[in-house]
Amino acid sequence: MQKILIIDDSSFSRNTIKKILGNNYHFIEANSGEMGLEVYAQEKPNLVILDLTMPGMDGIEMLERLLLIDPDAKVIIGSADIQDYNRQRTKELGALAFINKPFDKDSFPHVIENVLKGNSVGWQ
Amino acid sequence: MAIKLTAGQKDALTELINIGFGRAGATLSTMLEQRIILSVPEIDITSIDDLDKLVACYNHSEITTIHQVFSGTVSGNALLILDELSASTLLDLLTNRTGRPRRLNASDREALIEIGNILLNAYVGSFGNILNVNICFAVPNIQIDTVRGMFETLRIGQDGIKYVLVVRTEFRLSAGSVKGHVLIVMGVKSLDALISALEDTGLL
Repeated sequence: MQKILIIDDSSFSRNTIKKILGNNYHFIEANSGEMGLEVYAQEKPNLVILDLTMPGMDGIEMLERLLLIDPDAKVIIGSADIQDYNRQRTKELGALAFINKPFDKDSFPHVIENVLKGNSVGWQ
Repeated sequence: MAIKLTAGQKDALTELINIGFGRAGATLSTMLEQRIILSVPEIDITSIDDLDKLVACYNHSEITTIHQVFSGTVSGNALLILDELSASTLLDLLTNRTGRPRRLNASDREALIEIGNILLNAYVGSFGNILNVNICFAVPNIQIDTVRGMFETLRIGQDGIKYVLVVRTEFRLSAGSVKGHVLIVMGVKSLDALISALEDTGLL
């Protein structure tokens, strides 16, 4: 079973993601960027779903650090931030998709499947 | 001293806010699978001491406020305000629960913070996109207090600011079960930056 690391300071948001994706994946969670980096190193997940606005290390910094450690890490940004600037910035840094909250229960699972295959999606 | 907006500036700002609020309303509608009715935005420049008069409809009752500070070229405070019944009903709709209004527990608060985060980002983030400026959002927080108490907390963070630009918008669900306000409160310096950014886009 593929392992997905959800990094989000909101447990509501983490639970929403797990509810949408169901029992198809093994989920691990972190509530901060700092914790996310630690858990990533220990668990080596197949995919990371990363929030941007978090206390302490935010999602952009976390993404930068993560891709320095593992340039092949597959990361989807899952954020309420709708700004084109941050979408572009995370794309340049190497995220494979950017999905705005609230997550769409129909399309979100397809994004996950695609990114797990190494495709970059959802930047339109 | 208070400053005044020209008719053209007010018109452009109202349009900007309409777009942002429309985006926020659409987002809320998606979350709740219900039609959301939005009011026409009202823009005021007011004394920071008079903020509570803008949402006098809540009187002295307790309100739930999700508060998010934003910074960058344009900075300020975004507030989602709900009365007790609306906060409780919103949670019921979101989690498919039913029941009477209740005291909010930790997971209720987390859920409301996340609703606020999504709504306020959709609203204020639209400004960033249209004005081509980057806006940084702080982590949102929740406060349950009277209107007066809530604005007292807000005023503590506004060192030396006497007048603020306030954008007031009201929304309600078509069923009428939930209604709330979204307020954007910005210092006059940010208003200058906002007008300047609007001029740069050619919207003014």
